[in-house]
Amino acid sequence: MYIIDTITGEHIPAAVSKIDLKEIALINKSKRFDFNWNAEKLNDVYKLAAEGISEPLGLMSLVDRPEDFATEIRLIAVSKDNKGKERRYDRIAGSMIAFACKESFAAGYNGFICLKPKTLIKDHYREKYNLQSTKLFLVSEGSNSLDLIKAYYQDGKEK
Amino acid sequence: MEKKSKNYQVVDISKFSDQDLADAFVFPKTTNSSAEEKREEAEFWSDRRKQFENRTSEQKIYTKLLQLKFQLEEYIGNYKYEEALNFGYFLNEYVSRQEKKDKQFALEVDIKPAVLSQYINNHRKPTEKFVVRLELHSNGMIPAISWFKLVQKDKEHEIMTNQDLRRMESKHVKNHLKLAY
Repeated sequence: MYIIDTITGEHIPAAVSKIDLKEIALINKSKRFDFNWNAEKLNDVYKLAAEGISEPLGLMSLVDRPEDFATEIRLIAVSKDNKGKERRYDRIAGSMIAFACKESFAAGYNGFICLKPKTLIKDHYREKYNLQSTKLFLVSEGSNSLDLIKAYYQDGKEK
Repeated sequence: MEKKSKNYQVVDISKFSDQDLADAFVFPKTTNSSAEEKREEAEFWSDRRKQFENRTSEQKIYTKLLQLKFQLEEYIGNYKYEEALNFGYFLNEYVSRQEKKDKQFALEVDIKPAVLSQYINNHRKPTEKFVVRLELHSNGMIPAISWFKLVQKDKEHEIMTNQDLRRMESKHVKNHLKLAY
């Protein structure tokens, strides 16, 4: 998995890992991310970190739904300095979605992930990640989830 | 600016294009769900459960094999060693998740059933040829390198923890460094 430095074009190896309550509180306090991440403490919260960059670049909250055979993405946010046209690093959100797909496969859900997006940006998610749309949710599973994993975990720098 | 809810520090979405928002966030609607939305959501999960449970036998096997692939990759990708998750365990899972008998599988990868049994029970180290056959058998789903890394992980643990070997080999070592380390 890698992110791209938009200035140099360099591919920087990155990894997603679970964070504990203490780290969630610290990150929340830093105010480097939008949303109140303390409110996600009951879910599994992950950070995306890249080699040579001390601060996490992305956060994601996942809900494991074994009764529904699904991994639900509750929330994703890239750090405040990495959003918008002036962002320094690319592929952060996509890498975290691909990670969620991996988790879903490993749980035996056939890569089924879903998210409930704000209506106005639904089409962009659908287009960018080829997600299927239902009335409320966007969904990926099976071969599309495998494609997302291949797209974001490649170039021999897997972690 | 969107109305601030109790649970979220809401982003000022007016500053960003839709594309930029989609690149930076996944976040649910902050307004409370209507009764209609709650019904639709319940229907969505109900459909999902039905879809999963109604998969064909072939799809079920495929899901189980993909699960094994990602569990294996997760295991070889982290530093923690777990004795139970050795090469034999994953090989046995690979065979049984296909609902195949050991004898049938041995035939499919052209080895003797006794040799397969030794691999599964960790009484024999798999050869390079065998891990390549496993990759070919899975049509590339589980690459030879993943199987090889698994063998390597077992070996690393063995070499780090084998005190008997150290005792036995110590008689072959003379004049060792006296420097403290």
